[in-house]
Amino acid sequence: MIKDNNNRSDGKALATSSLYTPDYILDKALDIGESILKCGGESHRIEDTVVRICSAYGAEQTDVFALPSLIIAGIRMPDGKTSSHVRRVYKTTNNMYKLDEINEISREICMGKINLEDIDNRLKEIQTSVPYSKIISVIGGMVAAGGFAVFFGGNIYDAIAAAIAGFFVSLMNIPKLNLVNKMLYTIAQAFVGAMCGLMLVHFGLGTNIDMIMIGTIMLMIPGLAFGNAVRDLLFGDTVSGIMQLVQAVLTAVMIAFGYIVAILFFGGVVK
Amino acid sequence: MTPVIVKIIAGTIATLAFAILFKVKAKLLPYATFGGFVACVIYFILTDTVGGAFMPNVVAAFIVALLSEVFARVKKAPSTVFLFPGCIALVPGGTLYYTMNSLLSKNYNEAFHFFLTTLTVGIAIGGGIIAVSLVIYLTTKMYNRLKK
Repeated sequence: MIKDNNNRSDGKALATSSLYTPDYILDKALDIGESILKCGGESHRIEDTVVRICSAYGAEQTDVFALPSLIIAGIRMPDGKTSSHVRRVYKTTNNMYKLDEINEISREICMGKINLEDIDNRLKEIQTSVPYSKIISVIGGMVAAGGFAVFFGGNIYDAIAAAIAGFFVSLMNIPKLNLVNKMLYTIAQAFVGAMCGLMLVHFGLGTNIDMIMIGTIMLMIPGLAFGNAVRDLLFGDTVSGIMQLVQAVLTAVMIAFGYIVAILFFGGVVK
Repeated sequence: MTPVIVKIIAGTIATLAFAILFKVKAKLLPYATFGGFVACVIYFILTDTVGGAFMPNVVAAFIVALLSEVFARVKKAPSTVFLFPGCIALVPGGTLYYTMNSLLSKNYNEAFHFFLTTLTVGIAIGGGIIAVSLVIYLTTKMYNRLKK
């Protein structure tokens, strides 16, 4: 877990290591690292994985620096050949299925079970496979919003109202709207969530507007990003921690902005 | 008031739903949900006995992180798979809402109080997780030294 730089060069080189150029090895290792970053892996996990793969294929020294949007890496082989690559990542999501599968691939690579040439196919397989359909994701969003409405002290009617509001919020996840601008998208999502909550209370479904709102907030809150940022900061990944911290705070401000706009527009209807 | 047992059940169901949103594999879902259940139970017990915002969250996050490290080694999956859904019930969504609600009604003292609570909970979750990493690091180091 905590990085231990002294142990990194201990990995024994695989027998086939001399077949590959340093460029090729680093390129494949960074393919794996980039995939981990895209599905929400932490910086130290990316750095650790890239170092392990490179040293398994005979790199004498590997230097990796991963940020939430960028990976920089360089290797040096025993014969003095060097190579360095940079990868830029624009969009990250939380996808535990892909993270699990990629972890499996990197473990197999380090044990020498699969060749570097096969990585492309395996990664393509993972990119196309979908563990849950979109309908199940929307239902998941509804249940999560309803569950948290009760968790924070609401009654069953609040839960139903929060689930309906959660339905509209999760429905916005289906088109790739969030590629446009993440902050604007968060404002829109928060606005829709608050509007649905206020309307439902106005029409008599649900009594505690607070609990309904909290239920829908939980669907977009950056609380885990905040926890992750604190963990990265305490780990020593200072830059990555600060980047995540700023993103989390900005997202929270955007959520608040969306809710405040909705309450200013529709608040009079309820009270 | 909603009884605590109902709250725990609701929190567990919400954790399961979030595990699906995070796309945890179907065969790992029970383990991820169990982490959320444990987090809810510890959170409510400590809120009743100790109180405050820091202690319940830091202990719950610590136990969940420890559980997810154990599950990660048993099930050969990254610990994040169990950690993210497990911690979601601790996320300070309520206080964030009350922060902006107080801001909206121009009650700035209250808003600052809720803001600080939100911050404290965030730091508590991060602190609980980092404590487990430290424990794992020290035990593996000790284990390696004993093996030599």
